[in-house]
Amino acid sequence: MAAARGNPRILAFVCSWHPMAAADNAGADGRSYGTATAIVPVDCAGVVSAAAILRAFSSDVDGVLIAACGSGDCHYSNGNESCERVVQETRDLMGLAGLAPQRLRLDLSSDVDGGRFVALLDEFAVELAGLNGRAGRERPAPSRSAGKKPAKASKAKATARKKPAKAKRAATKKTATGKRTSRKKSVAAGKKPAKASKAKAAARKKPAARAKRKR
Amino acid sequence: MFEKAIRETKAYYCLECGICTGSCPVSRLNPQYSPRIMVERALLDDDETMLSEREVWDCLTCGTCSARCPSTVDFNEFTRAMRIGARESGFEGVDTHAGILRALMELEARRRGRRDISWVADDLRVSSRGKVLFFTGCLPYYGVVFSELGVDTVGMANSTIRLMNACGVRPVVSRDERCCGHDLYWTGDRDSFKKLARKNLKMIEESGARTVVFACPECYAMFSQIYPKFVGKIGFDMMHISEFLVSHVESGRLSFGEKESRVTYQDPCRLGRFLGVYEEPRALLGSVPGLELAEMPRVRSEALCCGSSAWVGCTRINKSIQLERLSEAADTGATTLVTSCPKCNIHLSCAAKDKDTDGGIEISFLTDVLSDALAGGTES
Ligand code: SF4
Ligand code: SF4
Ligand code: SF4
Repeated sequence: MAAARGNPRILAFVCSWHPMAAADNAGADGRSYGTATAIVPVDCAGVVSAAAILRAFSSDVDGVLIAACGSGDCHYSNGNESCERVVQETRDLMGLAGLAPQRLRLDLSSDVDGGRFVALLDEFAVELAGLNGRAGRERPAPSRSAGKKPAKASKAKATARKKPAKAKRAATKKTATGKRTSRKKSVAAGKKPAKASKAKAAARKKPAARAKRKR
Repeated sequence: MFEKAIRETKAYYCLECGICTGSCPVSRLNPQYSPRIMVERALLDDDETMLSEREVWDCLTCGTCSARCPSTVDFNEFTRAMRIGARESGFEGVDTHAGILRALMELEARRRGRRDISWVADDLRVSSRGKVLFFTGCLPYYGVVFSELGVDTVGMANSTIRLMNACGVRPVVSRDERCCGHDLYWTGDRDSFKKLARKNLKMIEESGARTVVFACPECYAMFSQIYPKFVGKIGFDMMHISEFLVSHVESGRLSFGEKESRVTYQDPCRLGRFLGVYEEPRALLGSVPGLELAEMPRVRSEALCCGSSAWVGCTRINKSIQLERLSEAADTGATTLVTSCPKCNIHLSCAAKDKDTDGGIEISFLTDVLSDALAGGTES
């Protein structure tokens, strides 16, 4: 379920490797998150520029999440590290501009568990809801009336319904390149999170080996 | 399409003499680029095709051509009109630094929120309301973006406040300040520029300030020359920090200690050709005992631009201009190149670092040099 208080607008830049697999799995598992969350898949978290993040805030989003692969697991060797630098610089600039730096969150994780991904978004939404209206510094989030809820729920369901197809496609693609073979299993497992997450845990181990091969 | 611009910039008086192109530092390095031909093409109604060309974004808006044009064609405004037209047709220049500075300016134009001013050094005195306001501009932001160049723009803001304090003035540093809109104005983003201008004027009104002091010539030029065109008469006095300090040196309130060194001075386009402030920075440097000013061959209205402007388009051409200026500065035998514009400081330092120039000259900001001399003065 999305954040209880309000429905903050979150723009999530999601790396197309591990984190996007987590997002896809969330869909495959039929999980839902805030309807005001937009996911922008990116080739690598390293391509997200400070300008892109600041522009998001110019367009009145409440928070920006960047989901990157965990340490040592970047498919392009150091995209997640350069992303960390960009995030630090952007946070400094945000602070100077009077925007709470907590509005920009970086998640470094190679966990492809859909539940974790949704929990991450929900937790961020709760934090953002808490920030709004603070000390008159921030623009208050537009209040969303309870009346809108049914629409929200059905939209979330629609998204969830659409996702498995996409997830499968992504899985096939990734299998074809010889990576994360267990992804297929986890998608096939569909609504059996317990079993799936074990398979995913195994999958998580792989990237380390990959990183070695790269050099 | 360009009729209004042609009328306002007096382009129809163009004699086709080519003095502009002959004066232009960009044309010298890039034969494709010619202000004269651009004016001609606009007069011949060829403006539509012109808008998509990259030359629209090549001008430094340094004002050298306009300063020399026998018909006083305002080529800067002409460039701006082209850029507005280009943007409206969907063409953009290439933002430098991956657009981070432009994104910041747009953010300041669009969002509410108050700036954090905790960068002000603890030993300095500032206030939230008062008669004199120090407009800090983008200095705090540049401190984050350009720290890798070793350019300390926050230090520049602090040394400006330190000097004002030494004059017995406790300036207002406002949390409601915004970017002055200079770069958005010159790259053709009218709407964001106007938003910023309105916010700044409201901020100054609320601060109760009667005088606004600028450390950045771009902000100063915007407030004194451009804002009035859009908002009418400005109800407060404006001055560059060099003008402010000179008046205090003259009245004997401010004096400096001994500082042995040989320096040269870069006239910023905005402070010099735009605003005609040539003597005050020199007078200040001259008032520091032991400081010797060695002039470069091209100074005052003839000064060579620092090579880049408005955070759009920084190419081989721009770098070459910067290196040319740096070697001119080094040839004076000076150990320090003093600038009174934070951006000259940034761009020239960038070129020095980028090209790893040997026999390099140190690049310092005017208020940093003066505030150092101030410390010497208190000691003696
Ligand atoms: S200097 Fe002036 S008159 Fe001469 S070509 Fe350029 S714009 Fe025309
Ligand atoms: S303003 Fe400067 S850069 Fe632009 S055309 Fe004139 S001389 Fe060249
Ligand atoms: S000279 Fe350096 S700092 Fe200036 S715009 Fe070019 S790259 Fe940026």
